[in-house]
Amino acid sequence: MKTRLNYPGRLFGLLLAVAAAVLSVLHLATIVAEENPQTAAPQAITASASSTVPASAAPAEGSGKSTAAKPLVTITKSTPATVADLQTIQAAIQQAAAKGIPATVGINIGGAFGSGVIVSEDGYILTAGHVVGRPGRDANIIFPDGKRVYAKTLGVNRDMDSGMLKITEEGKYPFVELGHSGDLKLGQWCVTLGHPGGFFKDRPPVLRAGRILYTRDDAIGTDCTIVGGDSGGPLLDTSGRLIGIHSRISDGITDNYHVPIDTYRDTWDRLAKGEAWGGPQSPGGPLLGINGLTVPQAGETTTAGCKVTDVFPDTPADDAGLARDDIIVSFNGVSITSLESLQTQIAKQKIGDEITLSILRGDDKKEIKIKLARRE
Amino acid sequence: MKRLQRLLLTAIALLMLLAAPAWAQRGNWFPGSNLRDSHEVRAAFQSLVAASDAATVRVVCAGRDAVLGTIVGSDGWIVTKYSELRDPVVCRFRDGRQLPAKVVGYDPAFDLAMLKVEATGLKTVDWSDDEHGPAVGQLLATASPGDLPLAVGVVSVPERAIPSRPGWLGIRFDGVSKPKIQEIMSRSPAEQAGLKVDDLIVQLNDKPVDDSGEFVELIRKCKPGDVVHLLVDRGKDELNITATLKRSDEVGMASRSDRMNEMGGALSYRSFSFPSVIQHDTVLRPADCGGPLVDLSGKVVGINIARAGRTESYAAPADKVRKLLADLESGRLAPTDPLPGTKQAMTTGTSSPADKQIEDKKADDKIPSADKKPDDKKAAS
Repeated sequence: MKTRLNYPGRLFGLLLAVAAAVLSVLHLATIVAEENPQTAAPQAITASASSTVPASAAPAEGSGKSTAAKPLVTITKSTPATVADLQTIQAAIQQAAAKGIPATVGINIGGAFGSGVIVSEDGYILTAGHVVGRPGRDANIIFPDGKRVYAKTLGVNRDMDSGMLKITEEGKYPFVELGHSGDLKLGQWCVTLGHPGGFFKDRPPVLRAGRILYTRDDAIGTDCTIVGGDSGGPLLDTSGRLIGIHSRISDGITDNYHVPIDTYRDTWDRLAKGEAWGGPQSPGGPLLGINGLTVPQAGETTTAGCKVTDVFPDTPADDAGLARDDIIVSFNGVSITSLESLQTQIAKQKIGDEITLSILRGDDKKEIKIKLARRE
Repeated sequence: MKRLQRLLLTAIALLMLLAAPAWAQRGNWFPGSNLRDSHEVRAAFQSLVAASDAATVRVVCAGRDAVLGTIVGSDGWIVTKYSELRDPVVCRFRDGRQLPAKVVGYDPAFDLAMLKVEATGLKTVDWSDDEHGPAVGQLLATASPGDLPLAVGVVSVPERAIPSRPGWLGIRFDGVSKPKIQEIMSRSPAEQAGLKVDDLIVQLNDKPVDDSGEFVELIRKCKPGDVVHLLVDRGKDELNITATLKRSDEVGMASRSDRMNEMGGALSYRSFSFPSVIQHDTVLRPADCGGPLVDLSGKVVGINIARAGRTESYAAPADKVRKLLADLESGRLAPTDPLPGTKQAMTTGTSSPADKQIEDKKADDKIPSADKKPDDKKAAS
């Protein structure tokens, strides 16, 4: 598994965390991962994007889905004053949940897990860019009832963290309509769905409700709490229309960030064509295969370096025997004093280069030779 | 190098953009506050929770606000969350009265305790009679001994059981055949029990084991807190070793998922292994558990029993709690062990999970201490 945080600093990409958690379990228990998605019918979805985009999901105004039931409940007062106001808000939340839950899916790609939402009857799925990773990958889609179908990743915009997939098995799938993120009002009620912590049998998509805290062109902030595994799941308005896709969180309970739906409308053709663009850490660079942490942290007295917090299976670090809690103190003779200094050294290397790490394992000092692989 | 610099700059830019100016015009909202739990929203619940507020007490343990309690019998019967308790237990009522409480019943399945105080004529909660429990999307308020609910939320999924967390011994094997220990994690149950590298595990709880994968599975099926008996082959000796399993995240082995779940506030230590819960998204502190959860009819649909993650809190459903009350009051379910916090402190002198949580809560009330900060330097290489 070649994953890493897309968002250094305090912003946590939600998918990756789950991947790491799952993998560290695998590490101990030697459980075999997901069924092999290679058995998916290989079906290229690349050409003539516009024509393959279903009318209902296309960014055009007239959605062609006017048959959809009109919203029954509209919240006129975002700040409730009476019990009747609360009842209206409750009814609106339930109406949005009823539309969103059947269309909210789990997405497995190469052992990593995220969420997504279907936006057309023939199975276009919107998700986060870091769930998709890159175009052309096989994905396994899990419906709320546990039913699974295969899909292929299409485009990804790594700047916005937007991504798209298409189910490759023919069928009629439940879907949500697209809303507009540009129209959102501060304090407006909204709901989120997704699979926090991963997909659990007997636990349908998990509903959370909250309010819009702010909107920007590149992110919507809400107090609908999200966490690892929710990545790619839908943020809906109380009519059940899709207004955002879960992307990342930070320290505070109100630091829940969603990709605005308008960017999917604006870049629909590029995403549907399977184009990948943007992003500081595109695939193709050299990969070591660990998560790390600068040490010492405040209050600690360990040697300065980069402590290994996770070693991903089948990566160069794993093959070379690097272990959790090892502290990397030098890289090809250059002293390592932080995670950043390690990243700097790795970025200077080429794929296939053999590098030498000096590490501390408990009180022992060791040298480990590692051949860097390609970041996927 | 260039790319890395750009990456860092992007990150800093993102942080700044997201962290600073947007809320200047926000009016009644400021960073870190939850608009859903704003004073106005909670005030709209005031009439609904009034009766439940009157039947909610603050449970104070060893001088600290430990949990909330729900008055279920007018002559001094109060239900609360067991695992947060430690001696001495005092109930502080809404009117400021403080009465010493005895723990007279304990239900391990829901982690509920029955307290008894010497009082009469107390207001009790008004239970919901709806046997189906609240539906997904229903609004819920958590009552408090004050005038407004502590926080509000919605039902997230249909009622469900919460599985146990896997037990954790803290060893690693070499390969997948014989259970021969290759590595022992520091501060792990294995280390504390005296297991050594190269020990070959022969038996687990008197049953032979000869495969490391099988052993790992058996340990993971146990709960944190379970005691396991091992027979190990150490060179010429065969040794009997007893270890008490832990949660893997207790000693700095937190998975990424656990770490993310702790972003946004402390979690209850006992937040797993419940036969049935109402999962809701109310943002609670561990010390806010034990109190009543109220729906829009003003009835109590459950008792909060855990802050379980960034996105989830759990309540024991009202119908399940009501069925337990008579037994909990009878004295037949009186806890046989000292209270959780107390026991640890007496036997080992080290800080217990309950102590740790109290410390965490203290920290939360003030400025988060520097060493409790989430791993802001963490990323993968």
